[in-house]
Amino acid sequence: MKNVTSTTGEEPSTVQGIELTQLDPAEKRGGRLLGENMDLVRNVRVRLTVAVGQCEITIKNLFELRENAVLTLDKDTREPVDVLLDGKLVARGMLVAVDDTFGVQITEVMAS
Amino acid sequence: MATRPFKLVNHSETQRLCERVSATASRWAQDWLSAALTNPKVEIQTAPESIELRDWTAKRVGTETAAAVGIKKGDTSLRVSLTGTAEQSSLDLEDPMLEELERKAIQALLESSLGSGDRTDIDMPAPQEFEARGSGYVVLQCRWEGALELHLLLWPKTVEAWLGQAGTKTARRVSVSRLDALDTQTVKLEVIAGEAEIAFDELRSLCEGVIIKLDRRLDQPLQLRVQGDGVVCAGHLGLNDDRRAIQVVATS
Repeated sequence: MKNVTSTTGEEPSTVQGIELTQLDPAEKRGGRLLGENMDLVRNVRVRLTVAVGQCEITIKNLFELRENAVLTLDKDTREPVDVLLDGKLVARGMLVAVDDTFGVQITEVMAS
Repeated sequence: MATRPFKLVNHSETQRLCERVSATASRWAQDWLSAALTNPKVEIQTAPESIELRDWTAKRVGTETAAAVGIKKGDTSLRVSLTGTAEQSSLDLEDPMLEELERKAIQALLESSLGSGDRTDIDMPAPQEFEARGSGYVVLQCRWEGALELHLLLWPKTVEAWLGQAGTKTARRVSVSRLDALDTQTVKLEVIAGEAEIAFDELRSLCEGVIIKLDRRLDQPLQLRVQGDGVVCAGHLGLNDDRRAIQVVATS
């Protein structure tokens, strides 16, 4: 048997493995535990991605791309940019400059 | 519009192909060249002496001929000519029109020759790819020389594929290496202006007018991501006419 070091200073008596019991997911009782309380996750950070357009290209052309090649996108300049969350469209907006960085000014939020 | 009957010897597949190409050429002439030509006419010639047959078939057409398609396999050759008198002023030689013409011609000829559902391993290249000879996927080239002539050049793989597949579901397929076959597959590149991390609460209260600052500086190139995968290259955002465009930069 291994030596056991206690972090509390008390002498441990016995050390055993733990056996887990089978949980039965079928038996659910009562209302939803968390209700509609979204505040519980209100500080969770989510990552938004802003896409300005797409272009389709063959693999062949992709690997023949050289510096300064111009790829035309599927959107014209008047169209809004897409704001994506995990690849899903959540809002649209206009591309703007915020100080010296890109930014997006929301023009439309997708209905929930 | 008149179609002259033709006869090919010992090659029934080729004959069926010719019939289809002929029918397509007629339609095509009607749809696309009638505006530019007066008295359009479709003419079929087998083993024409006037066209030069090399590895691939080239057509030399006179000033009165608007378009021609040539096919060669072994000692069998065919030319479909679309003829008529072109009025220079009525021909619009702008690039978009030519591209459209190329696409329509390819589509019509392929559909006619192979039938729907029979063309899984022949892809339609974009016009700018037509110059890539020898790739096996270059199916057709369409070029105006001056205002009066349209040449359609068929590459050997195409002719081979057409002749091999015309009229039969069990026809031989074009074989290429796996990597070559990948060449014509397309991928979508998504251009990303940047990302921002916000709280779930902020996401919930997102509304019109809100400004989100992204993590990319204006002087930095934007990432181009292949869908479902990572960043493949980067470029600066700009315009190409009235569309957004990306000028690719070298990445280390």
